[in-house]
Amino acid sequence: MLLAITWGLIGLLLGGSAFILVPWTLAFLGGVDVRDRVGRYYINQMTTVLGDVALVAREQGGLALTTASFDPEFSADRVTVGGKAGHLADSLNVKSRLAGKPFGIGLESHAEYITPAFAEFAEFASTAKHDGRLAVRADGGARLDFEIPKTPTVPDLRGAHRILDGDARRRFGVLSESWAEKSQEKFGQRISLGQTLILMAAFAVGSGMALLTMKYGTGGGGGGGVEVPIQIARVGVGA
Amino acid sequence: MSLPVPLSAVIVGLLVLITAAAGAVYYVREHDDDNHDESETGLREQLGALREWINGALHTAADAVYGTDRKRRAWRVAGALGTVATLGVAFVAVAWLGWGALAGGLFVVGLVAGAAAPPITILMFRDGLPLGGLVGTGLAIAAQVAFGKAGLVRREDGQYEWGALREDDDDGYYVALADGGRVPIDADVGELFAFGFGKLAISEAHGSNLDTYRATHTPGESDHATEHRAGIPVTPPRKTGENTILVTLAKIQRRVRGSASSDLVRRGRDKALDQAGGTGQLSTLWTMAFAAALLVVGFAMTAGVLLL
Repeated sequence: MLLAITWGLIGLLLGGSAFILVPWTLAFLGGVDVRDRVGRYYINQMTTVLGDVALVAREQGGLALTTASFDPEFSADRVTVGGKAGHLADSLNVKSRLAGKPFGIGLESHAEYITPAFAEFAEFASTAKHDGRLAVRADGGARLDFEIPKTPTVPDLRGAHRILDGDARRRFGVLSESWAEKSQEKFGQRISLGQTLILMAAFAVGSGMALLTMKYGTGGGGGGGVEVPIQIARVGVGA
Repeated sequence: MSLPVPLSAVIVGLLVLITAAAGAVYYVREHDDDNHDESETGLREQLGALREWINGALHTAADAVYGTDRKRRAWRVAGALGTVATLGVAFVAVAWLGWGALAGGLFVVGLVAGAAAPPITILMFRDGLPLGGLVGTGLAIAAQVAFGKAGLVRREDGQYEWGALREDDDDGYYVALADGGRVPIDADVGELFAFGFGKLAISEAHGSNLDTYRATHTPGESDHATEHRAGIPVTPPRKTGENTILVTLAKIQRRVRGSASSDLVRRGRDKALDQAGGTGQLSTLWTMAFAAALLVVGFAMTAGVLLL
């Protein structure tokens, strides 16, 4: 019986690994069409699992695949790259879909979704500026046109921030929230140190008055025990 | 429990074959140097010619049987599927003959359950799958390994496609789209991203999607400004290169206006002040009221204790 169960477990293991190994084998043997079909199948599965996907161009040059979740308080997607949370806004309206699921390409450095075309614009505009074509001229005029290749290239996505209008970084939202929270720490308590001291002093004064009353009020003769409260009452009413 | 005799014989036979092949490879490597006499050279030439003839005959036979490259690939896939099926049947046979019907049956059940479990689990849980980030990354790696070289392209309609990066002798790299179109990509292998044990080209189609940013070439030699922007005269757009698209910063700037703005900073500050701001502190009036109450309580408690 134990051996039969072992065979069942072996079957389970082989079947599970077949999910990867069989399509890979077919992809390697079947040429580019089969590779394309197998790869797209896994991409479909990936977008199903991740739901809302962001591919982030990291500052050191790599790429990071991560999930994005809309943060209504920031009106932007919250993404975590390299363990650091931040936001990607879609003010350029370029977030789109991959295999039927939300997908966008973002920057690790700046809080913005971009497209490869914007990265190309940044790259070729920089080149044109370096070549002196795209610049304010000596006569006070300006040249604003430049050329990009007709065939799409593979641009350096990190450089896309050069074409953006602002310079807000991906983590600025999270940092400003954290800093503002810290700045409010002193005011976040319902009762301050001074208020606590006042309340303690009030209790101490009450107790002290009782002590004085009992000590001097009961020690004297002829009804002197009521002198101190009466004096206090007089002060209280302003007599 | 011993294996059936035919299976043992097959295993022993395979071992003998492997040993013989390893011995042959070792022999050829050991004797494959330049210090051999003419007779050996002649023998090698004859062997080389024989090998070429056999290769040619095999190719001719393969072409006759399988036909084109496409057909050969189809045969290879069919062969792979057949091998996988044969292996499965062999495992079942070994389990059944060696350890009984229950073992064979459980193996089949496990095999089917194991193969069906990943896609069914993904379909059931979707983006709620535990450790979904890890699984998603694993699937992206699996896709990249299958692709080898992949292209992530943004189509003219704005949708993304992640497909195999194909190579054409004339046009270089391109990605075949699902609708039958293609996005050519001008890149060298060194320019591709290394991603998930594969290479990845990220690019965008240059079609109607770029119309928004295009500038019209103004013919003529004069650089006299025909328009002003913010009071600055703008030189007429001139196209100088072949196979290029003329775009203008004026239109690009209009599109990117307000991007990467400091709005995030304001929103973060507002959220913090809203949720953790100093609005909940006790007012002076309440402080005085509590102080008066504590004074009376203190008096009463002390007096009470002393009276007792």
